[in-house]
Amino acid sequence: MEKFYHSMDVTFFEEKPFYSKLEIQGERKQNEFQLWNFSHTGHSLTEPEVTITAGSVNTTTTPEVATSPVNPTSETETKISQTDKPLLVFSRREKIRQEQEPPTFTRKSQDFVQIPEPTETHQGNTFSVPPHLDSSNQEITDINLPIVVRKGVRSGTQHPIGNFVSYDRLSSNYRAFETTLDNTQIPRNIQEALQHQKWAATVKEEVLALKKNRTWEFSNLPKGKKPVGCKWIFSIKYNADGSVTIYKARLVAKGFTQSYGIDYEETFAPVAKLNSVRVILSLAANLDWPLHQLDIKNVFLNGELEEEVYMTIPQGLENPRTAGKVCKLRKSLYGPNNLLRHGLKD
Amino acid sequence: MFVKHSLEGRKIALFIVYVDDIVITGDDHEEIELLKKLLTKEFEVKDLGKLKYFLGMEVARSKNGISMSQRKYTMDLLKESGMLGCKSADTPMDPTKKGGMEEESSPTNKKRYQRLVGKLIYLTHTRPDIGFAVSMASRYMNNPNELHMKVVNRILQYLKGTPGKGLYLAKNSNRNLEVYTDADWAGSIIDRKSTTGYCSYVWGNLVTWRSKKQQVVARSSAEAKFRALSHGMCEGIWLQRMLKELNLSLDSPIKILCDNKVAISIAKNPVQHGRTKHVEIDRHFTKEKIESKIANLEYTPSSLQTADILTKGLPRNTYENLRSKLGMIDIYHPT
Repeated sequence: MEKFYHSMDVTFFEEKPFYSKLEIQGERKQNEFQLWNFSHTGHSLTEPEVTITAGSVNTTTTPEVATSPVNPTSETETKISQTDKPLLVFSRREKIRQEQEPPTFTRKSQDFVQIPEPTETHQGNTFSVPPHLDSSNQEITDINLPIVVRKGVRSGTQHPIGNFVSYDRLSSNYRAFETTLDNTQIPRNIQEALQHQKWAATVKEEVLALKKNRTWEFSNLPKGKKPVGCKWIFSIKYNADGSVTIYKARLVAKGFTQSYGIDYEETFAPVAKLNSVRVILSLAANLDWPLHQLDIKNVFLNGELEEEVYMTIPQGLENPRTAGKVCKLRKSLYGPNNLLRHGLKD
Repeated sequence: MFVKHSLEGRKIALFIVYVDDIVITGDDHEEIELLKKLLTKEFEVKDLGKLKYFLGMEVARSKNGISMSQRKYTMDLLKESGMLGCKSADTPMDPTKKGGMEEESSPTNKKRYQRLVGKLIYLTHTRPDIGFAVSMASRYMNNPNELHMKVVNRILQYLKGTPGKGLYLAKNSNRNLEVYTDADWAGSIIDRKSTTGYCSYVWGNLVTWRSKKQQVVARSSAEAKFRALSHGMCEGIWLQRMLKELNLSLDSPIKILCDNKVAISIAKNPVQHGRTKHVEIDRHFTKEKIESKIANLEYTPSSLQTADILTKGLPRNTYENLRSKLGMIDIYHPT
């Protein structure tokens, strides 16, 4: 139990009010305790408690807001409808100084309680509802209702994205592709990837490929040289029917840490202008050309390096034997600026 | 982009490279197969079959055309920015707050702003409808403030309403090259520079567009539009040259459409005019192209001027009207 010390050697306890709690008008300690108890044990609300709470609504409503008609029957119904599923009920502790300050939490009822559609039982209702204040916009002032009841069922956003996208008009084949596109998650870093079997396997495969290729050798870092960082990148490629073709893992070097003239001389990468891609697609649409897509594996991994490039040991490959060493790249890797050119030389 | 013509000069094989992603197309099927084989021999190649997903763009093909969209990219962007549950907007820009972006306001999270705008710029590859709004937002990359962030949020709100919208490249019989050019004269409140906007249609399909602040101040709206016109002409010439390389010729000269009669007269009038002496280079350039029958100038009323959408924030009605002319569809739109 935590203690707080006052300068006058008085001890306050977190749970206990320092001043004995006063019974005030309309307060039902018993109920509060019960509700609190329920919240603790996780039992669902039973009907009797609910009606009592509803009763306390009426007693705690302050006079000036009491004129706005609170419809107890509809409220009770809401609560009963909510008891269908097991609920955890939390309620706000009633304020001690409630009398002096009438609660200012007056809000439109639809924010808090979902009032059910008027049913037959409501037809015989004798409440005189002023025409401008029907049950849909009456004001609820009581904040001591259990929070679940007060807030009603949360609807989330009022503008669900489903209003704007749908797959209805797509062919089943393409729809399947779109769904997998949405469902597959791409890990952000190596730690995340190693937790999934598929991704861990691809990482292993990539490491093996790099080793087989003798991409680097471990060495000590010579003075005056800076190692280039590296990072794992993951991506997914898809089949025509939407199934996943390849889980890709790639080790890339952070080439942006290199500086021109020191680490590399010239750089080039073939990049098509997207404008021309669109032109071609437009022509293909008009002339019924087929469109094929290819993907090149390990494009740049074949060129021998001319410059000396040192790289830090990639994450997931560290072991005590190589501690303090760096990788001296023999062949190219994705990322260093001078490597793009090598891929094209071959 | 690489092209190979077959010996008879009739058939063609095309080959577009984006670092390691390759798209092959053309009507020379043998050559395509040969090319594939060659590539497989040289590199480790994975044949992904029909074009479906290229650089984050989803490509869907039907009998009547090809649609390109960045639906997933948009959704990811909305998710990342936490705007998935926001209220949607009808237009990407508030037309009533024209000069609002120049006002002072407290600085905003610069990194977030730059990242968002960067992503939006990539999104404009299939979304000409947000072209102007994004180009507007990207002018303040260096020192964004809360007001600029609001503009970006508005674009995201608009995207929320239309996440699946994309370009539709339809099959049609039109074999022309049309360029719509427009300018918003003195649109920038700070330096009174104008904004150029053009969009070009190859064979009836929108393929390229641009929204750009002009480098120099224009003294009259005609001058601003005239500059836009020569800009659009350059684009048209590039497209024409590209088509020529593919052995595809056009039926008629490039059609340049402008909604300013004065700008057209300036271009057509060979006499040096006192008020146009400071726009000499553009003037001679356009005059030369027109005289050599490469391009043709035509007048189009403002209501049909699609490039207008790329020069200013428009009210909803006009915006929707012009957007429908961009040839965009939403294959994901709930019916």
